[in-house]
Amino acid sequence: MRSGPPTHERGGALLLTLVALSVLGMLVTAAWLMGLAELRVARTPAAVTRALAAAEEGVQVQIANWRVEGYNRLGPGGEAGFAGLAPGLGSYRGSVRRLSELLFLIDSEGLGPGRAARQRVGFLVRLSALELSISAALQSHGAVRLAGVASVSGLDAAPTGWPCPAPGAPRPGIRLSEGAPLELVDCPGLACVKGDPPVLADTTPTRPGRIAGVEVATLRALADKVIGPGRWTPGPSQVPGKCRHAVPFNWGDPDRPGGICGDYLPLIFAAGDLRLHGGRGQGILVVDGDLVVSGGFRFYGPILVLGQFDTTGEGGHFKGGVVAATVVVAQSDLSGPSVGYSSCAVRRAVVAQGGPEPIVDRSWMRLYRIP
Amino acid sequence: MRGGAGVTLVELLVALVLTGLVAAAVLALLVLGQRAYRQQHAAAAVSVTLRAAATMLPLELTGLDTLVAAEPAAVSFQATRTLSFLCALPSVSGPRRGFLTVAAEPRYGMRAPDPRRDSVLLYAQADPASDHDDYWVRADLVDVRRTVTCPDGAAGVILELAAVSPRGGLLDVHGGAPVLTNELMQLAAYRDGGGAWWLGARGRVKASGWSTIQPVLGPLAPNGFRLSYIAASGAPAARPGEVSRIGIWLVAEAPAGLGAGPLQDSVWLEIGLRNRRRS
Repeated sequence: MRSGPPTHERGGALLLTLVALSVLGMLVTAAWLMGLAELRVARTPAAVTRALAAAEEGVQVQIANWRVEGYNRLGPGGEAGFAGLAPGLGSYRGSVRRLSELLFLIDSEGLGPGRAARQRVGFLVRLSALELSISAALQSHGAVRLAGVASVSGLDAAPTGWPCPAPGAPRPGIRLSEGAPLELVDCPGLACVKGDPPVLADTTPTRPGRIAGVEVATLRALADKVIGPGRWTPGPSQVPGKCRHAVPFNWGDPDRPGGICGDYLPLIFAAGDLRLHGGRGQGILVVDGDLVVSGGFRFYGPILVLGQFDTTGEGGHFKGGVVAATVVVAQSDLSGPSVGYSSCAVRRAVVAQGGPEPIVDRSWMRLYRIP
Repeated sequence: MRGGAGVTLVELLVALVLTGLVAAAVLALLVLGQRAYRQQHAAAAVSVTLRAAATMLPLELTGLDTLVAAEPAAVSFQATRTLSFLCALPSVSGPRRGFLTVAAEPRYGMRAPDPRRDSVLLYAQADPASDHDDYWVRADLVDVRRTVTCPDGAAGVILELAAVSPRGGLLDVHGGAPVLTNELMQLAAYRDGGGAWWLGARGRVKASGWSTIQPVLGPLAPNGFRLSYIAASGAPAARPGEVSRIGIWLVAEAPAGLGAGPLQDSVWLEIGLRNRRRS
């Protein structure tokens, strides 16, 4: 019989309990660590997907908000950077690189939330330029009159100092609708008109609301500047290091193609009759009315006039091509042809207005740096 | 017990029984834990396979324009391996032969161009003024020569081409044009020597045909990789050129060595071909 509490017993229950608790603790810890690892693994594809979507957003934002004044003025090999936030996805950063006259690469890297993942995509786009039909130095579906010392040349010639490829084949000097009157004053034997042929009768019917193959409304919608009727003297406007595009009568600087305003070739839409006296400009000039030029005004690029194109006095000089309903070129300035065809001037002006569209097939790809 | 260190038989028996019960409980816990660990490990392995499929297959397939062959458990396609850009006009050495000088930078890709495996796509603009007549010139990559100088003074690489198609297509290629090198690849289910099914990939070597298939992910259940090909209309595509999306049914299986018994899970992926031909 026991007479009192035991004093020297060595029980094993505590030890066993501690062992059991340790085992349980290890199991719980292992399960927790595995769950944590699983969670991390599961988060990676989600972060990759978000980073990819952010990179895509970077591409789409550049296409939707194409910076004509930034990207279209890059030289081949030139790059312009971009960056932004993709709400709910992360952020993106990248560059638009000009590959050639018309081709660009949009290189966009997406960063997932917390920069947990990166994905990079490339998108090849080409500029979809206005397809203006400038097929002669001077094109009209109405009467054409040349007087004074006026001359027209369909020989392809690049403006002095412009970065142009070799000239193309000669175009007609004057192309006018069949049956339209052509009056050449003091121009024996078509001496004042050069081209291949000098004069071409056009049987293509004209379509109302269109000029040079493009809807007038489209040209107005694309215009960088819409100006009202009046008499103006355009000229480049710049501050150190910057061409002032917002100035209404800054139409670029054709005399300094490498200068600050040398790569500014706006599309100018005149909503009504326009009189220009002296000055210079480049780009595309559309006049929804008559255009009267005097004082030696010079313009490089296509001029599209829905009414009459008229030069007086010292007149002007135009390199590119002129399309008008009726034409009167009468001027006293002898320095070169009054109207001369230039595929380079037309091309440069048209490309400057282009917007991006994916190239045919294979435009999209993931980008990796070659290891 | 009285004044000594001994125990009674009853006390000893009770202690033994209690110890046995606790030990049995601990053992049961250990066994349960081990089984749970194996099952979790197996489930994690299956999940990893499925996640890898969801990550890797779109990487390889999204950028395609068309497929070369479309079978129920295998798909063949031209996978882009590099993107670079011409730094000079192509040099034409025959109606179907020529040389390209591509800039060393920028150049993108998973590996350098490999004449043993690669073909070339080259962007051409018949009339640069028109958007409507651009196309890709196809050619075989014959040789890659390094360390040349581009006209602008930058480093470049010369690619020698043969079998240019269409004939004379190099004349429509302009400076700055993108140049893609592609490798004919196949993704297919295959069975290894141990009887396990895998999704494998193999490339086509020009001289010797398909290379040995390499595992991409798995193991899979038997018939655990099935493909369906969907046209732009949503109907099944009748031929590879019509394919707009690829549907992939993938059933992953736990590796046999884990001893967790049969465990499977599946995923359905639908991958749109981003560069699918519209014409």
